[in-house]
Amino acid sequence: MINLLRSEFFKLRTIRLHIGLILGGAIFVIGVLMLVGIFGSAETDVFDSPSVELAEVAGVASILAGLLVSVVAVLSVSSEFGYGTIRPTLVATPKRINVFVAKALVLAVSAAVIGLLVGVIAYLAGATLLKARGAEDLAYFADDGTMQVLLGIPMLFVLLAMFGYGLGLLIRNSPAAVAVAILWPIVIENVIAAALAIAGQDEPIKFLPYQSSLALIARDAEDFANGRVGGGLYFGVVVAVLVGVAMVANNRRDV
Amino acid sequence: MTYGEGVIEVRNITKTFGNVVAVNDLSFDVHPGRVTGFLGPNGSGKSTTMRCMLGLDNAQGGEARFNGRRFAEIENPLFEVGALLDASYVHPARTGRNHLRWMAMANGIDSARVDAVLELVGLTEAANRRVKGYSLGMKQRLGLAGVMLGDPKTIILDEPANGLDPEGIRWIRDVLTGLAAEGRSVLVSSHLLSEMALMATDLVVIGQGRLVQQGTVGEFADVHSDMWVRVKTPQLALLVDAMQAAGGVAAPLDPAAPSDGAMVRNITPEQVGELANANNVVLHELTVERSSLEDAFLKATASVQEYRSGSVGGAPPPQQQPPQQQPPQQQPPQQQPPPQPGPPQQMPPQPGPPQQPPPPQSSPSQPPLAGGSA
Repeated sequence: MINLLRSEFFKLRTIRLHIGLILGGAIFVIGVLMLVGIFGSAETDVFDSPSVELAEVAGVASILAGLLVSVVAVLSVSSEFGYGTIRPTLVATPKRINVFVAKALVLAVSAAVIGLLVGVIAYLAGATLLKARGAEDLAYFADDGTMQVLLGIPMLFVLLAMFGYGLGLLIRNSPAAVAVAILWPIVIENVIAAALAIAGQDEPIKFLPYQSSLALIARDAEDFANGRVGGGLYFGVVVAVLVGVAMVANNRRDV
Repeated sequence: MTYGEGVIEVRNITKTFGNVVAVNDLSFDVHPGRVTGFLGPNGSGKSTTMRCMLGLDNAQGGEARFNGRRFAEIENPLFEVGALLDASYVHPARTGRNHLRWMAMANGIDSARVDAVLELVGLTEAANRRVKGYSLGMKQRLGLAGVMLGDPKTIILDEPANGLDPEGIRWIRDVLTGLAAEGRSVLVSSHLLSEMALMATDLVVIGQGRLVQQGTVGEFADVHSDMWVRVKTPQLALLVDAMQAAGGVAAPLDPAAPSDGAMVRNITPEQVGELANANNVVLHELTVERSSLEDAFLKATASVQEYRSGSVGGAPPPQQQPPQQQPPQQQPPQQQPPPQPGPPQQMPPQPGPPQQPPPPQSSPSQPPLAGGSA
């Protein structure tokens, strides 16, 4: 399994598009926090908790980066079917489930590391710039919920990566799977929310897995119907079912 | 049953796509030290069979065993089975070297071996270029490098010469015959017998997913190709009378020019020689000729062609020729002679282009011809 994990990680990192999308997302998040550090108010007394608010900005900016992580996850598997490399992959490793699990593990760990690095680097960049501009009361990683928000970023990235992976493995067509991955949070869940609202549901958001998971990067997670843990778990269960169905389906399909 | 190293056993593979039976109870063997040509018309089920053998397609029945094991049971298959189903199965944005490296990593193969196989196929200089800049021939070489990564005893290639130029085809041929000479089992599919005739020692011929024949190239030619004797003598009329009395069926090459000689079927060259001697006939030429392997292949698969071309612009298709006097054919008994809906075989009106070289003789170790399955 170690050989397979190495092979799958090598595949992931030897496609420039993957690297470009990840770097693009990372630069965006870090760039936003640097702009906050440069142009934001250094008067910390205008904030309740400047540290966690900075972390929350990183979290919100990470939604876009997470979307790009999701797209990379889609492409990493759907391109195997699109370009036919799934066949030499399965000729080298005939046990399909091992291949699918290895891909999932590589994507999950990569997403976690990327999310952690992006969140922490962006936060540190913003905080350091603010401090340099006179926000001396701003404490790094203050005990005001900052760590919860910063740790929520890699968790969200892992969920989004697995979401993209499940879509890519199930749909197997890159354009279609990428479209679903992008339209899901932007359009599909909003349509579902509207339908639920019309049906008389007061809190439709609690039924929306993607949007529930955003509690992971929120400063005030209790504002979300399912809370931080509940929101993350709900999306996690949906993603687990999606990935499981995709793996079972592909374990039987002709490739 | 014992298995020799590198033996492939295909048993009763059946694969359907909806109502279409792509492979129908197909069984055959591939032996070490030999290039086995897997031959059949387009759409006959060759690629599907190979995918089923490797577990890429789920067969409805049957199995393939490599040294007695199913492919899925092999831990690091690149060390035992090298397979190339399509040279284009490469991510175009990855370099050739990196394509081989991920394959090598998956089976714990050292990266030094990647460089070695790149050298073997002559791609060292292009190894760091992205595959989207490769020509088809370069992709075939890269694919073959992937096959050789684990130095496997068994090699499976699906139409490796497709799209290659003559130099590339010759290269593939030399490589495959060389690999077989090293004791490996080589199964290579093609729909071109002319290509197979130059490299294969054994043939597995299929049509519409069913086995038409398995055996050596020589056995295939014996069963499916026409043979006749060409004689040339200044006393042609005398010799023709004698040959026809002996059961031969003769036809002059050119009725207006008896000195050009005649074609005779249903008689052996030994008989012709003896008849000439008995009748004091001077022979100027006594030659055994047979139809090409290509013709033999077309004849063998005539009843199992999935797609058949019609005539274009009123011109007859290649197999159709103007009616001509035709002696009865002399053929060894066939195990399962396929029905031949096509036009009757023609005796060549003239020698024409050089004939195919005589096919190799069957090896004593070769298993007897296997008849077609259901």
